Amino acid sequence: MKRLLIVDDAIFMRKLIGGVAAEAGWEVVGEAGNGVEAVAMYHRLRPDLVTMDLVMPEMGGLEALRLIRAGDPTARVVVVTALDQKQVLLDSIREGAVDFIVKPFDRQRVIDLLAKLA
Amino acid sequence: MSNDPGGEGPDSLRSVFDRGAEGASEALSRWLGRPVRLLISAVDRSDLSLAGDLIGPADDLVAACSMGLSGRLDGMLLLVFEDRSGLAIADFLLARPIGSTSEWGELERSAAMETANIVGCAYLNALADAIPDGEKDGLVPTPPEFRHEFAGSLLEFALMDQAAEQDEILLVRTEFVAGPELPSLRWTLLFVPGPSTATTLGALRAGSP
Amino acid sequence: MPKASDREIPTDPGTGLISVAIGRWAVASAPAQLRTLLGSCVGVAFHDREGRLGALTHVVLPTSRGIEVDHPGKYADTAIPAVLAELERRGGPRVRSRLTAKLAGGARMFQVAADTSGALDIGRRNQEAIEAILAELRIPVLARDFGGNAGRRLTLDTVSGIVAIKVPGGAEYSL
Repeated sequence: MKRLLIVDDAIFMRKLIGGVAAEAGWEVVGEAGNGVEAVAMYHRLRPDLVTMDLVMPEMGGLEALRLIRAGDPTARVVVVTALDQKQVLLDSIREGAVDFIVKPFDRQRVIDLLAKLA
Repeated sequence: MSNDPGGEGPDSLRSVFDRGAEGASEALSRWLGRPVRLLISAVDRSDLSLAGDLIGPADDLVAACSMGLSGRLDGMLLLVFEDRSGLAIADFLLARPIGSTSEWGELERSAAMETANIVGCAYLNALADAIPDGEKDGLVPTPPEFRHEFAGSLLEFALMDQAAEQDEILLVRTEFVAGPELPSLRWTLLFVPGPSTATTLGALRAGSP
Repeated sequence: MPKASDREIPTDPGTGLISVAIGRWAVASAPAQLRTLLGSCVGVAFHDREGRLGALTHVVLPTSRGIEVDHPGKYADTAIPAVLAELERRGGPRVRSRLTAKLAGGARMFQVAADTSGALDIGRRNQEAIEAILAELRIPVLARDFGGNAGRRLTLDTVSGIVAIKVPGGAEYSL
């Protein structure tokens, strides 16, 4: 089973994404509530995929994405954000995100994406 | 208080806020998976002394999630719920019977904050479309903060920066209503513009000559 | 609830609850109650037990910087003289020597707002300005309730001079 790290400051959102991931056949190995936790947990857990929120306290998602990819250039990170702005999308791609999901998302679209990335 | 239909500002300004309201409304519909109707999209200019009652009686308790904005569109976004409506949203999102929750626990707060994040970002995304490329840096809000507060105190806090500069305050108000599965539930999104927003949106002038 | 928001000196109904808006003030005779909702602003409650008079101001900023203002209630340096003048008009020149004051407010609510402005300090600066003016006028401050990060509902009972404070989710307490 593929292993997923969920990064979002909202516990509600972590549960929601966790439910979708389980449905798609992924194992949630960790949940982080900010970018600092995310970087530490990534290097400890080495998951197959990360879902990364952008707007978070302590450290935002773009910075966390950069640090994760700096430590592991093969890291695969999907950005999950409510910020549907071209600049934000371009920044995410520049930092190496493999995909970009806008909240509120269609459940099936996320299941399909996770199935594709499994 | 006046619901300024754009009489003092250019039509484009009014339409920018309307697009924000529509974007927020659509996002809320998708988030809840239920039709959400936009009730009011208004630019309120009012005397500071009337601000405390702008979203209902000043001593009513409301739940509010605030997000700070910086860059070319600075200010604050506030999603305000009457207690009953806020807890009903949490119940609905957590797949519980509506009315089963009466306290704001961690999960309920988180559901409200994520709702604010989605609604506020959708609003901001629509506003950002009105800004030229190359000036969009920093159009990222701060994470939502949850407050349980008197309506009057909440507005006073939110309008403090404007009140320091003038006696007239300006805020952009959007009200939503959901139904029929979520009967008569109502939320208000307030955008309290900061000084850079006034400059960015051209003729937007919050009272001072 | 009668409103004090649309004029500086409300007609005193002699009873009931009078609401004081942001940046405004009101004077009332017992047994009226005066109420305001505070965030980072400061409420100054005056009481003259013998004269059975009370007054409440909702101060937004410490100083008018000498500029002529439309609404004196907004600034500490104009609100307090305006309130005193009305109290003396009603209660005679001896009111001032009998007056006491209680202060509340000055909370800090939003982290975000504080980052970009001087809003963080406004409560403290308001308190300092008010205390200095009251000290100069020799009006004793009997109680203070400042700070925190929640709003306050302040209610002054003009009979007893008791100021009741309620914060969201908390029990009401007296000053």
